[in-house]
Amino acid sequence: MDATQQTKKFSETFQKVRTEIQKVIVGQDDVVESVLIGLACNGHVLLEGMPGLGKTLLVKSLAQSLRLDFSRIQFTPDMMPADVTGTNVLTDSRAFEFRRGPIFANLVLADEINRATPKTQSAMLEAMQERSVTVGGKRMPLAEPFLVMATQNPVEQEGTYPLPEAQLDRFLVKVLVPFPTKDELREVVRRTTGNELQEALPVAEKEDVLEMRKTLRQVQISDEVLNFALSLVVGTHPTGDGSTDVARKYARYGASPRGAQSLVSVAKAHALLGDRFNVSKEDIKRSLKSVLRHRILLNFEAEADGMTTDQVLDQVLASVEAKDRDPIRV
Amino acid sequence: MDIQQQLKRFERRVRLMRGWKGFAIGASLAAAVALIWAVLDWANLAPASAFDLGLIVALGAIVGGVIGFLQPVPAKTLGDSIDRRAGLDNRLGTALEGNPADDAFAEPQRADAQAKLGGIRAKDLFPFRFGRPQFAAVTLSALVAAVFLLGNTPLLLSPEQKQARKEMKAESARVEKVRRENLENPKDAPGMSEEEKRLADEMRRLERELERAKMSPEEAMQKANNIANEADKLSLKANEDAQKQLATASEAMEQMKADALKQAGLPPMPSGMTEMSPEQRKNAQKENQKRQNDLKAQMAALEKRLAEIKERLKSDKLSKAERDQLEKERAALEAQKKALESELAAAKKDELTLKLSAEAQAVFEKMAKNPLYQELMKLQAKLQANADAMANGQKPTLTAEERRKMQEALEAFAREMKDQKAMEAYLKAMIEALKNAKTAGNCKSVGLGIRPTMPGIGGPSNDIWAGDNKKINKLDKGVEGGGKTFTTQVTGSKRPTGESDPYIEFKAPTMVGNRSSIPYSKVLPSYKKRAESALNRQEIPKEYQGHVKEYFKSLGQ
Repeated sequence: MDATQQTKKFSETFQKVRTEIQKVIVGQDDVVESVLIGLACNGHVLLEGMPGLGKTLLVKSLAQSLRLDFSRIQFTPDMMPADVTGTNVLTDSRAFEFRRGPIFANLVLADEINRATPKTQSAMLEAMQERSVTVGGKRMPLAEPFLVMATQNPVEQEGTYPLPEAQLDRFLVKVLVPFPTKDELREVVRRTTGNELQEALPVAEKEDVLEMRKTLRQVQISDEVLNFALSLVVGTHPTGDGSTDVARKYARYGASPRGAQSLVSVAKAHALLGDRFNVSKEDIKRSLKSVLRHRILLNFEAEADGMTTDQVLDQVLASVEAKDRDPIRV
Repeated sequence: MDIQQQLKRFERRVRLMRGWKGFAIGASLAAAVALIWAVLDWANLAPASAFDLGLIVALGAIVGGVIGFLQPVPAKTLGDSIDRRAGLDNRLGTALEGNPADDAFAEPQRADAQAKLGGIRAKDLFPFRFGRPQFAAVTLSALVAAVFLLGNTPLLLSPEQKQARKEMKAESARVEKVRRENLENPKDAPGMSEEEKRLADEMRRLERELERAKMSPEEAMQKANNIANEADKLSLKANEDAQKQLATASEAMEQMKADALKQAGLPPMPSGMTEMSPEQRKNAQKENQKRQNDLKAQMAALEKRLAEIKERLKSDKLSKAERDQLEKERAALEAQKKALESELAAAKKDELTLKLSAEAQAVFEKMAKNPLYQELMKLQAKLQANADAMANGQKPTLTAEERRKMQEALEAFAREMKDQKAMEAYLKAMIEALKNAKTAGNCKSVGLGIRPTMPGIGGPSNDIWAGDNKKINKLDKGVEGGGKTFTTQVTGSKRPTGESDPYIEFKAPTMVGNRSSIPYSKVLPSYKKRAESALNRQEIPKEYQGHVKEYFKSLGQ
């Protein structure tokens, strides 16, 4: 398969899956796209939004359309790591047998992940990064593709355990799930309360997902674009050469190197969706907020000024773009 | 077509646009410099002309344009710029970096970029713009023009200043007339000498300054006088050179005559003997014969006396005193005899020369009958008369037309006679003398023509030759003098030794028809300063320095 066919197939697969999901999910186009990009980039997705916005349905539909295993973990404060990873149980034959936890699926919905204790949350770390689980000294690989889609409720913060930075960094993107518009809401109500219930049909296989990942890695990126991406990442740091004024003022910590990798990966997916073989600065800009918004830690001054990470990123982008001038000025 | 080749047209366009921008930046910078100059010109600190200012701006623009055009345009930079301007989503920049051998996506990416680039026109991406540099160039140039025009407009001048300016301009025209008629007259041959060119340049500078009318009348007069002095010096030197060259020509002519005698087998001849009439020669021969006879008679008498003395000395009866007396007499007679012998030999030689002089004269007469010789002699005489007149401060006797004809004649002779060494030297000296005569005449004319330059005094003489002092300083129209000239006699001590030496001081109005427009109090400091400067440079003899100081001190009181 040549490059043109590869990119075409990537777009087609992406589009088919999206269309299937959109049969079930009304609106939320950006959320659907981000989840699919997360899957294509071999990353994990953190969704932040109010309950009842269709997050579970989204992952379920995604699993259906791709014929992938799906599991859902509802995190609670009393949940133990073994509830996630699985545990050895004594069988009738008086032998220990490992009983797999819900993490052993292709698509895992970690619902309200911030309600679990840090101990349980950390159990997710190895699974998300190493794509394996170690129980009783035995390492067990997870199935590919593997995608964790975690959700957080931004409102009910009492009795929650905010995700540690190390864990947040492991999410490829953080997507803000907006409340649907009135029209979308009407459609949601109509679909869910009527006689005909839509269901996503399988339109692709797991091999297609793996093929998409392979295609994505071949997308070209020029030094110019890469420098632009790195300037944005470095620009989020409060110290250092490439630091921006807004970061110096409002950021406690900037994005990690993993943030730069994620930014380029997501931008590559956008490039393929745009039928291009190369990443553009627009792709980087488009990916910026979803990739970096959860990787920046703001300081007290930002909170006092009511600054959000998205606002800080907007200003970082403006600052980097101001320096990124046309090399030929005539 | 390869991407690199496709980029060529964009590169050309970028160069053009950079040239345009460089042109504007260069013009802006140059206009800034010109603006400073224009301001200085307004303040009369550094004179400038519209041409000078325009030239600066034009040169700045050209240099800026060339620098801009020659700036390198790297392909990667160009690619990135095209990506931005054409919205190619970094296709071109990526394609220019990609290595097809390494990556499966590189080649299709390159093809994609190439396809997108194909439909783009360079002039759409890099259009001609009238941006900030161009605006700055136009604004600054306009500012320069405005400052220059305001600084030179007569609208802001008082009626007196306008009048002074008008007079200055009239003087400029007069200086130009003197220059054109004396130094750059196309009818005047040969061409300008180095001295004349230098003088013409100085006059042109003065003309420009007078035309601009930004200096004071005193300064104008000073400059005109300097040029006049320079012209006088050049004239004097050129005339001296002409005199020397005429002397050289005379020597060459003598050599030609000697060569002619030698050719005829005759000895060198004193000039007097070749210029006798037959009658004079006959008389001379008679006189010579008579002289020889006299000498011979004297010689015979002398020998007779010597023989007698010799005979007497043989006698033993002579006393010592008598003998000594005779010996002395004999020695004196011997010496006399020798002198007579040499005189006789000279007379005999003269006799021979007189005999041959007729032949030599015939040779010279033959030479003199040669029309070429006659012509040359006339030219030499004219040149000599001209040089003599100039040396005496009189009007040159040669007109420009005569000089031109002489030049042609001498050059024609030189071409004909180039094989004769003596003639060649003669003609060369004559041509040089002629050139110097021209320079001397022209410079003198300039000196006399330009000296009266200053507003209110003198005026143009209608004569091209201004050497006649009676015609100098005459206005075309008579002007009644407004001031009075009076004479005062002042007695003072001119020498430090205390010798009293009366002198007469003429006090006259500064200008004919006009009183000085500058108050005494205003000029005194500058003169005082000049005097102090002269004292510091020790231009004034030590014994006079005290007097100078006292003089200026008394003026200030």
